[in-house]
Amino acid sequence: MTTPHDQPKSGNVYISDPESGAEMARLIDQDRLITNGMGGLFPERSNDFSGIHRVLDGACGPGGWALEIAFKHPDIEVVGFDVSQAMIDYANAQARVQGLENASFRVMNLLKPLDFSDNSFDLSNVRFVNFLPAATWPQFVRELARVTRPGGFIRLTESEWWYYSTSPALETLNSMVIKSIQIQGGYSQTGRFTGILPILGNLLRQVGCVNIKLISHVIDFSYGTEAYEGFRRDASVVFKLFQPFIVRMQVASQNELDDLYNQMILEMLRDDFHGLMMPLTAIGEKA
Amino acid sequence: MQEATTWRELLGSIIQDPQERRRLANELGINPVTLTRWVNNESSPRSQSIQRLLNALPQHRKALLDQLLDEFGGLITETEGSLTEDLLNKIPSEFYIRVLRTLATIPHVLRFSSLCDLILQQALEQLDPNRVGIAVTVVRCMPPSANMKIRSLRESVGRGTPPWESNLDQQAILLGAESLAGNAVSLGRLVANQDLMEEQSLSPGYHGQWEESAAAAPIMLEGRVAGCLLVSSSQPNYFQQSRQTLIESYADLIALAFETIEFYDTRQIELGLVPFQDVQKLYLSSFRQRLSETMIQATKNQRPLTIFEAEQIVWQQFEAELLGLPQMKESKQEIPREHVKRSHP
Repeated sequence: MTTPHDQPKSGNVYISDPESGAEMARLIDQDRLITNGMGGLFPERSNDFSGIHRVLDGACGPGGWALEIAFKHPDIEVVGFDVSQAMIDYANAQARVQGLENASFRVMNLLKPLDFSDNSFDLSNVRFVNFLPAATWPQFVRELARVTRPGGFIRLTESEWWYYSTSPALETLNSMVIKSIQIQGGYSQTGRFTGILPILGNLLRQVGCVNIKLISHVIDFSYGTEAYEGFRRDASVVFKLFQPFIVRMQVASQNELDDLYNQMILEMLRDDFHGLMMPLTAIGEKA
Repeated sequence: MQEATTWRELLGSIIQDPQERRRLANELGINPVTLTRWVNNESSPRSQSIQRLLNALPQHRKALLDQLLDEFGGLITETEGSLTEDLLNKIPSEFYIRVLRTLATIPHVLRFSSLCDLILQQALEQLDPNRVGIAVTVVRCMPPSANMKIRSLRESVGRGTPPWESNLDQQAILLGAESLAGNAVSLGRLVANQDLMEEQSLSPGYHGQWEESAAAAPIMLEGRVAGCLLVSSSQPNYFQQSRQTLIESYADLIALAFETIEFYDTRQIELGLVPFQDVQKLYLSSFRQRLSETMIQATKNQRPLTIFEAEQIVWQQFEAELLGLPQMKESKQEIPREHVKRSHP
């Protein structure tokens, strides 16, 4: 989630500062919310990890998904990597204080050759990197395939960015983020959608995966649901932290964003607020 | 007693005493059955549990360590043991760096919520690595009343591990003099109640859902107090000295989330008694509606408020209403027992 865009001309290529503790705290909360909302760590196999001994989590951020696997499955070795030194320091410290000797984390860039041997993982997982430039996807999925053993799984999870809701301000802010991603070179053709969801399956097919499945999940964060407060809080943080990115892409002025942000806060407080997040997982077996 | 030749035999003799077995299980954050499995050589402890076992039995430490070394060989050493002990009792340095870096770069409007969130998540992992169930909540002083006295505290950001929900923010209530948190803030030092079920306990605090023991450490700066860090456990006797020290360290760190003006002279702390949680919940059911109205009105008046400023105003309204309720003018002795014993929702 904290992988940078690899576009030399664009200067600062992060959507938000990956070294920021606020972003880290947000990602930890978000990870928990989404994993719970999707029905667990590996819902596509009913959370069955049998036959899986070594797991890779790419662009792992503060390591929530990987640490959870390490805690629940002491016999599985979990390796996470992220481009952010701060995220990796945090994830390693978490593994230590929890006594999780089967989890380790390294600094590595998803957009460059990975420092792992061929065929060395049973499951390679990447989630929520839909802000990456379109041109980079085939290359990093190829790398995931290289390090996954034949018969192992490659798992990609993405969502549209990322709220469907009854809040007009939230919808407008979403569209501004997508537009900004489009300007940075994302898959979006129109600036209305990120454009990544329709091609996830094909990305797996191109690297020789078989038995590819597309599985959608629905997380309801309408007012009154268990997920509501977490998502409301996430929105209040993410749409503050991402403002500099939107301004930098010249999609909106700071004044416009301030007004929209306040409006979004109010609209999400309403009793008749409704919202859905719909992540899509594409999973395939390496032939 | 015949001298034990393995650590498993030694442990077996120790846990013949049911009370000691229960105490050890609590100290290690594990099910008592796990101890029996170790004794019967059906399973082996992780290195973290080994350290906790050594810490929990200081009188047997040397014998246990020697025998553990016999079984596990190079997997543990005395030096590693000390390092691990440090790790359990101290906040990792990486984390201090992270918090300070965040403080240096965070947008002002997110300072309190994001710093608290970051710190509470870390506290949760370190205080409950085995996930036996704890809740950690930042409790902050309500702003002073007209006579400059702090009359109540309010729960603010909260996080938990099962059986508690992961996010406790929506369950926030006011706390007063009757609570463990109120006691910690008034005294300006950590207070703990190791058994909230114990009716004769001299410690304050009352038994909330799932709550068996609790500790609260004041959040302070230059001798002034802003609130406290309240930690509740689903296990009795969970807050041994090492965990109390850790809670104090986290409370010190959380002080960074507060503005300087939010720290009050302890002479200003004159907490009242606040109503039952059930009574509060009735009032607080209109919280969001009031919050929304407050923000809309402020915008209409050309003086828009952040959500945090609006929340503070609404909490102050509730405080005035709740402290004004007739039953709250009674003395503490007249408050029903189940109310006096409650320390957390």
